[in-house]
Amino acid sequence: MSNRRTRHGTGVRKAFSWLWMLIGLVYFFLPLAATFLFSLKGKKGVLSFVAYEHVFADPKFLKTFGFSLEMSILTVIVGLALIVPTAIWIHLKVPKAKPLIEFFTLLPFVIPPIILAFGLIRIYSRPPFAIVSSPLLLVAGYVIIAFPYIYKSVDAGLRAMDLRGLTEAAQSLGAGWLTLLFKVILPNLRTALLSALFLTFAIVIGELTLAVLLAWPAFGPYMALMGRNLAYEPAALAILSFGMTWGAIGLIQAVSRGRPGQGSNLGGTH
Amino acid sequence: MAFLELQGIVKNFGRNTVVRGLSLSVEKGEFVSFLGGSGCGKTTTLRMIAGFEMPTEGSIRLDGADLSRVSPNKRNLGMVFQNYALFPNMTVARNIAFGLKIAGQKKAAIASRVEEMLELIHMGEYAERYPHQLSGGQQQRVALARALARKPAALLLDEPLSALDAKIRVRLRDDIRSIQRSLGITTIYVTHDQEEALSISDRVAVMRDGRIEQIGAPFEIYNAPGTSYVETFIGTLSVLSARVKDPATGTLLVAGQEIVAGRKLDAAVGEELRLSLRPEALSLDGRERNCLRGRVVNVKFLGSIVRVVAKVGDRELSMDAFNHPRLPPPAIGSEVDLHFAPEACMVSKADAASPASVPEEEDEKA
Ligand SMILES: Nc1ncnc2c1ncn2[C@@H]1O[C@H](COP(=O)(O)OP(=O)(O)OP(=O)(O)O)[C@@H](O)[C@H]1O
Ligand SMILES: [Mg+2]
Repeated sequence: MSNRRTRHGTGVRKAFSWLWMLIGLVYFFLPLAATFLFSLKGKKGVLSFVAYEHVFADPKFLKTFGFSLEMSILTVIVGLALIVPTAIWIHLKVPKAKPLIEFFTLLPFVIPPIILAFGLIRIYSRPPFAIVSSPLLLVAGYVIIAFPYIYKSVDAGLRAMDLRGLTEAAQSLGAGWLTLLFKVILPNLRTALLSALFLTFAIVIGELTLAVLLAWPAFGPYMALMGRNLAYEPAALAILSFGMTWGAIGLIQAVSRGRPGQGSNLGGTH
Repeated sequence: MAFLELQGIVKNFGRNTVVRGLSLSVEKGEFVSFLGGSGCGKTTTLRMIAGFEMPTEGSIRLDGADLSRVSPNKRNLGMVFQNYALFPNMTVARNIAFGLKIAGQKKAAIASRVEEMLELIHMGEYAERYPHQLSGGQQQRVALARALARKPAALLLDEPLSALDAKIRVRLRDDIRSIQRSLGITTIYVTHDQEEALSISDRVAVMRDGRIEQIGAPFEIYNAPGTSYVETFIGTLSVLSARVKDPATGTLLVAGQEIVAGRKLDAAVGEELRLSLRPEALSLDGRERNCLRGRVVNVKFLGSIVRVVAKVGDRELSMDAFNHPRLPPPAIGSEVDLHFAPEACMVSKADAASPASVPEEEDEKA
């Protein structure tokens, strides 16, 4: 009797969780589907990819996208080069500083980009740092915005491995710091580095505020401009950037599901 | 001068003194265990030898050379950790080859050495597996091979078996010992398992509170514990209270029953002493000189051994007997006579750490 009731109970609970999942999916996919449908209506009466053709035909699309891609690559390089060794150092040598760094990672969320932009302009527009006209300043800003994402990914990766044990094992086998970094730590951080990389890409590609305020022809401002002036093309753009983000996430999943040994390809252990 | 020399080692963590003036000499090829309770400084001492911690005071010398300014990666010491610490991104073969590559050896030399090491740990067919595809025992074998591949000057192991289950633990410790013997490598082995320490070491250093309480061969540590801490820490021990009747003949009174300790006692008539007895030194048959009568309060069947606990006066006395299918153990509540030899008596001052019985060698000289 009681057995039956509990089974009945789990059945109801199961139905409920399915219902919630359905609501979630609808909430998530309905706007997406609507946007996609809308983006196909560029030609009256028929569904067509004409809006996408327009997007690709616009030279500004490729130019701004190329620019943002370049910026994101630079941001990834600078960001990883700065943050990864720092995170490793903190984990190994000053674990007490972890809460402090965690606090720093919150700052880019608390301080709006507009303040960051004005701060950057104020400091870097006059000597000794007159580099406001260089795209490096934009990269510097992006590194700050991407910092929490990179740090959190690397931090999670470091926590997931036995950093101290591996370090000491490698040292007792004669490894110096460079061998340790490139042959032991980085190969085991592969998934973390990839997720840091793709998150940074996703953020920088669509970033609007810093690019506008520092006056760079980036992809974010381009999308905003299109959105104001056209109807179907922005929808097509939205679907495109959505597709790219999902592609990136899919790639993280696919790569991280590989065997751990494949990390050697990235770390260059041979 | 010994191969590995620790002299007056002190280690502070902030205001906390963890190792307090520890000295130790280890001969080449010797297998020495650090045995002691949790937090007594075993790992810290081992890590100072490995170079992961710097001693606050004192010096460590290996083969005559002072190690204090040598970084861990230049000490050429093999290290085996409790949690294996294999490189998860490398196969078994590449884990073992890691140290050899750093040493700059030729490819062919590395390959043959890896082969040799795999042979040594009986894991030839596992060369291309990744650590996560191995059992804990197999991983620890690989870790051992990895540490030994470079022919280190000494091998340091920090509780290498404590994450494994009992059966594997016994097999692997025998393997470690036989490999150590065949290579003749100087070894320091940290454990809190006394059976492990006693069974594989040339010498056991019993540690307490940052010091070595006693160091000696397992036989010596077990049968002639130097302090009451070592006495109670090693093995099972029944402690009785005994009153001195005649110090010259070593005659004692335990709960009104007379026994002899078999040697002269450094105590006054009527003084209260500690009498300690190992369970395996007692028997139910009457061939030994001493006998204490007690009432059986508990019988524990431990497989090959039956432990009988009897109450003598207000104290409990344990006796171990081999299991015998035709000789059932005494019933609870029955009276038994527990016999033991005078040499089995370990007598010490009731409060102090020092043994009260005069050591036998000195007795003979006198
Ligand atoms: N890095 C450290 N900072 C501060 N205190 C430490 C540090 N490492 C160890 N200690 C302290 O030193 C003492 C001895 O530690 P150690 O690890 O040497 O003990 P152990 O004998 O190996 O014990 P166990 O059997 O539990 O492993 C402990 O009280 C521990 O808290
Ligand atoms: Mg320890």
